Amino acid sequence: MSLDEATLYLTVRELGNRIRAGRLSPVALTEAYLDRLQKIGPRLNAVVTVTRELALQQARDAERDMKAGNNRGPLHGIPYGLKDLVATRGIPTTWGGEPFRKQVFDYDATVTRKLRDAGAVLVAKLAMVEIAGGFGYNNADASFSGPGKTPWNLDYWSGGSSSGPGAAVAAGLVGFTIGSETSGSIITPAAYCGVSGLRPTYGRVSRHGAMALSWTLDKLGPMCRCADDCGLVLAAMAGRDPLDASTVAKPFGHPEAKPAKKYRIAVIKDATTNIMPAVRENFEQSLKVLAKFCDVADAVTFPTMPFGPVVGTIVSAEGASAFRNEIEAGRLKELKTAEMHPAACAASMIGAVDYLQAMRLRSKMQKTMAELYAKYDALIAPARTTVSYPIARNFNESYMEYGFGPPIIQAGNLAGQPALAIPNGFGPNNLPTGIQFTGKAWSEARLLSIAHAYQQATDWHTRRPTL
Amino acid sequence: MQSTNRRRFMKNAALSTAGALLAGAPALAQGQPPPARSQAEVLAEIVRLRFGQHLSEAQLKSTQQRLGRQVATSEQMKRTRLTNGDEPAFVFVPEE
Repeated sequence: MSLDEATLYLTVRELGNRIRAGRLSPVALTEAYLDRLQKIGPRLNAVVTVTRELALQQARDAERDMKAGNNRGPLHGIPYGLKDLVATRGIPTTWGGEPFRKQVFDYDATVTRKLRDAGAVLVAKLAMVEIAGGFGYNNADASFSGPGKTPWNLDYWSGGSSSGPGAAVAAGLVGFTIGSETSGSIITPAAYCGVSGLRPTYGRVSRHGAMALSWTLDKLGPMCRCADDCGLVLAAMAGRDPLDASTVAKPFGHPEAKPAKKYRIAVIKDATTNIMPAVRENFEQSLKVLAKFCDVADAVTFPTMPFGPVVGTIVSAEGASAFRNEIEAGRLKELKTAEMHPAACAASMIGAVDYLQAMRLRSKMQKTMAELYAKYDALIAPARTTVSYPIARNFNESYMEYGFGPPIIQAGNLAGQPALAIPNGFGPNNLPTGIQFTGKAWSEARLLSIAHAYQQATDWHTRRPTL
Repeated sequence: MQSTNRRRFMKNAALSTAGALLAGAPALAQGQPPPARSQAEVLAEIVRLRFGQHLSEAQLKSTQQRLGRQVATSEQMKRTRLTNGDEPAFVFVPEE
């Protein structure tokens, strides 16, 4: 039985409702997504491996379990994709890079195991920027799978480094995906693909089995068609893991109970200065919607601290250590981005004292950011200052007239704080714009509540690209 | 005189990089101190020693530019004053 496109674009919550009610077969749903991954995935350079046999087996298991009354929860029977840096036993995990194209692990990452235990169906390993863009890249064509394309306009980038996850969700190729962020790699593709992407608090989700670029910055998070779905997926992924000492046993409940008072939010000052007009206009419209259920305080000044140099030093030093074997063997020469290898060699020269300087500054930044966010449920800003970048040009040759705004992404990642990007309109060339909600550590449930309320009052997240 | 200068130079060279050793030798022969080199140049020599077999001349040149930026970043981070009590953002926990 073939399913119509409208069904494939349903939210995870609605798909799950239909599966539990016996109105939708996990097998039929999986077959439909597999078909779409094969047909549309290559047009977006979004897919590395379609896991057909595994998916159909998991779908049959899910259907049988459901009929036997064994309901595993909201993700039971829902097909999903994993960014190809998350280990899957016996299936290639390529890290987006030619040197790792044949890499196969004999174990599953913790996230893979948790989603399997939740009854989700793995349909694909999804494309990404090679080694998560670790040592820098200046063009969308930074993966052996080709430049990731946003489904809204195939001449433009999907964003990275979670390029495949963002595009796959936006194009209705899967029910949800798992991306990762070191410094921007969930928020950026969420913005450029017009989907909802959640970067959890550092330590919320186990990194065991995920490629390490920066041990103290890497985070795995859900990318979905709405904020509510991000909450359902995070609930299945989160939790203390003995295999990842950074994980913390903090409770996470979704959805949270509606608070008695209005949400207290504030705009980050200068976040709309010198940005693309359409991004600013859409953000201002979003504020009007948010004002209906939030107390919007006066703009908050972002701290002036060397966030950029600190995050750059930490990513470079930890990345040079994580990839030391490959750097010294010259294997990074095989990457698509020719500059990545010399950049990695340079990163290998960062001294321990400089790395520790960055980490000591980071302690101060953590305290400052915690104080900044103490009074608010969320601080908000445009997710990115422009729409997506044209694939045909280097990044530093595009949008020269606009700035990058305050270092919100760098600061939030350094502090280990969560952020959620959701779509809020469109700009030039039919490209989506986004708004980001940033919060104090462990406040994902609050951010999801605010975003969910926004999405109940708007319909940007229900729009579909023409493919 | 030349023998004494070489001994002093070798002692200093043991505390500096291999690149400085190579560059300083011609100047020393004339009794002159080695020419001043930037940190980026010296670090680039180490990169050449460690990774040179995997890098073209063009890449070595771009690496030196990157190293210059890294040195500048290091200087920028030093401008925020830290005291002895400012600890890094990680905690070592002994295994039980």
